[in-house]
Amino acid sequence: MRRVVITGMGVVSPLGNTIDAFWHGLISGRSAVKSLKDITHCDLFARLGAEFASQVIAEVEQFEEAQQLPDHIRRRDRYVLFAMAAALQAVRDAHLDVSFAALRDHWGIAFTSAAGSAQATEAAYCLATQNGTEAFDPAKIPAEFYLDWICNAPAILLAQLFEVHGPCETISSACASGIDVIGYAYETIRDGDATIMLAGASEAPLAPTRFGACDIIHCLATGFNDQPQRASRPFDMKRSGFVIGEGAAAFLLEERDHAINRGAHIYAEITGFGLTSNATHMISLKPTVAPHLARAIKQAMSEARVTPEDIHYINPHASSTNQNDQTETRAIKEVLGKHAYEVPLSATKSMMGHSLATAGFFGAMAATLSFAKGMIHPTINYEEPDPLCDLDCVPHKARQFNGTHALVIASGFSGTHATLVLEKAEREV
Amino acid sequence: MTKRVVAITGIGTLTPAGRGTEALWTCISSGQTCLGPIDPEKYFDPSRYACQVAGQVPSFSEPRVLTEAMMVQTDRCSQMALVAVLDALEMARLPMDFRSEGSPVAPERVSLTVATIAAGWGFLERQMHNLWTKGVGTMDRYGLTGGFLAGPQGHISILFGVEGRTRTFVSERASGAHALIEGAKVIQRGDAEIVIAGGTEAPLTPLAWAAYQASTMLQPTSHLEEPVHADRPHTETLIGEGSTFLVLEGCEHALRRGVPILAEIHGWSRGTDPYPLEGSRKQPGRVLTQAIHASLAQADIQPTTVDVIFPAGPALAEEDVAEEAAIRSMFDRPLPIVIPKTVLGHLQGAAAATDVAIAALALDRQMIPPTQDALLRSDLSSISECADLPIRHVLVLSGGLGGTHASLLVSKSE
Repeated sequence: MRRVVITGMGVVSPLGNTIDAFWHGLISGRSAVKSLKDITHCDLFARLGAEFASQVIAEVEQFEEAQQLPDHIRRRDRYVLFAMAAALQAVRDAHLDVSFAALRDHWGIAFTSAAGSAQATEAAYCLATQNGTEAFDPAKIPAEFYLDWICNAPAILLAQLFEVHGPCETISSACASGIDVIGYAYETIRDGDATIMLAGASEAPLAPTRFGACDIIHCLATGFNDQPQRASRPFDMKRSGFVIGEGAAAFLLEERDHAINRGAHIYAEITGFGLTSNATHMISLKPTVAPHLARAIKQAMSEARVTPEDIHYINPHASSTNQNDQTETRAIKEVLGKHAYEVPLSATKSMMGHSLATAGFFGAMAATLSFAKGMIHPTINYEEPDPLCDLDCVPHKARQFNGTHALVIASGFSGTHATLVLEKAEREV
Repeated sequence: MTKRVVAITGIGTLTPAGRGTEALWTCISSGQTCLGPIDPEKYFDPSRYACQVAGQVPSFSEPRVLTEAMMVQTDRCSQMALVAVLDALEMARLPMDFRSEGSPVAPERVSLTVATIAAGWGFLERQMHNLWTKGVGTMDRYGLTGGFLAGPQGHISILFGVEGRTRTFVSERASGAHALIEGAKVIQRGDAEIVIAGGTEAPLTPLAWAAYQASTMLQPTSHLEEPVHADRPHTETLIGEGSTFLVLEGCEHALRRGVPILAEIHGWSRGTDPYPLEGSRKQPGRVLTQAIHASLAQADIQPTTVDVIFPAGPALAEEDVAEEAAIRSMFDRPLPIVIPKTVLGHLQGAAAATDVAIAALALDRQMIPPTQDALLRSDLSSISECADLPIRHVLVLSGGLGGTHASLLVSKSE
């Protein structure tokens, strides 16, 4: 059986655009959530922003990395730029000799975005209709708009940049697809279809229509509009929804022997993956039963051949919505039994909000870093525990960690659940 | 353990040819184009666009899946897909709901792969219009799930009770093949007993059409001079809407259930011949040749035993030339070549599933629709009736922007 390891990481996040900044922000329990009125990168909210019930976001603050991208990429939508910056970091971090031609035939790309281009598409609509007041004029659509409109621009731009000859795929299965894309890339290597996979997720959904579509169905946080840093509060009684965020994350995944032979640093090994559909409702979960999420967790654990006691850390979906946090807690208890109360779990979204597909990827990255750094990050804003969310969610303060196995969970609209089991690298190579 | 052989046991299709396999076969066999002027009542006023022609799906209704509530909640992409999936399940003699008692397969053993480039755009554009003209309060509570890429995946899985793996592929024009290949892999690995795999696309919205126009891929045509692709090769593409879904299962599973096998998927491969997106769309085609070899090797057959080719045939000069070069380098004899896109338009995310459906029908019926000669593209003399029978292996190619490509080998059931 071919084994799959993580040998490179890259990130663009509301906590910073390097692995160090990302990790430092998480460990120090710093909230990156702010007021919608303070948004810096999108002027489309100027007229309508104040009308939304939710007034909080998690924005990528400074994105100077964009300046380092080639011109033809810099003209693309924000989510494309995030994707490229994170992916380039991951390839650099893996110290891969990209000039080695023989590599290219065995190198593939798997990317995901739930929303794709939000700003460029809405800006184009506004331009072509004078903010909706006139008939649509296609002549006003920018020349390269097609590259923003399709959702696989990051993947094909990366394929071109690295002259990748393997599979170049983009999937989009709502908010579970940050984990799904890692699983997809992992299976591509495991099945022998590639030796190296650049896997990534990217989102920049902060544009009025995407924001409003979430706002109108009451899934966004409204309880702490005047105290944004307290708005994202997974497992807390006063949670009122998620804080929409943005960013990108990427892994360089590699067949284990290949990584060892070239002397690569191995962060962790992916040993199990689960993917299920609850076929219940487009946005709701049944709060009292969670068989489908439990099944996804069991799939990943069974593939990784681990028992509940082997799981030392969980990075859950923990979106800070009522339904998700309760359902997820129930599923974890169902699978791990009594051990569920012994396992620390920490909610990455408590600090960075919910960046749709990227969010699950951030969780996988946080779990991977926990092995290397010997720490797990806290869940912030867990002040008044929801009695139905009574697991050890590492409140407020980071904790020492010397475990070897982590479970990562992501769930999404359309009823998808995706899970990963990550294992600490057996040895430093 | 021997790998499972992947069988196609159901086809559901709703394309410009109409609904169902008979309509599709009749239309493709006639060789008459389904492309026509864009209906301004049904879609949008095309007069401001250079391309005013598209393949449009005739009116359809299906109360079993398209209830009033469902129509309110869904985009046209989901609506077409729900009808196509229903028909595919019916042909494969599977229940309308895998959760129902008596279902021959447990719902968690059923998987779904969906291909699309832009599911939900029609819905999303209405949302943008409402928001900008009438304010935040007028937004639709189904705006999110009706207007996003994973919409069809969710609507299909909920309605039909698909509780296994579900995934949506959005790799532009290669997405259709990617979804089918993933479906075949799921069966081969034993991750599910049944896979519903296919694609859906509804690109006839003002913004989507403007995006295509900006890409310069569309043929500037205000009225239709037929036949479009055939006598004027590489004239830029014409596209259509539609949805086709297949039911895939292991051959033994199909035999146990006693359902007819239309065809089998014996080989596949994916790869990329990357090229700069700015400027030229030139594709070298080297990796495509490797990929075709790989899919034939998987099926353990030689190029000499391929009987028919369905090329990606986007009618884009550089892509066509690269594809022709790859085909020429592999096959040293004239081969019947079928391009359903000349009749239906390029159905984008739904194109590959539609091509594979037609290939499966050809293998099942041992007939091929009107064809062109792969090595003598300008010679329009049809060799359809002259093709050697039996037809055993059909190679279906797909390709997309940036040089992504995929091939599927569809074979006669043994």
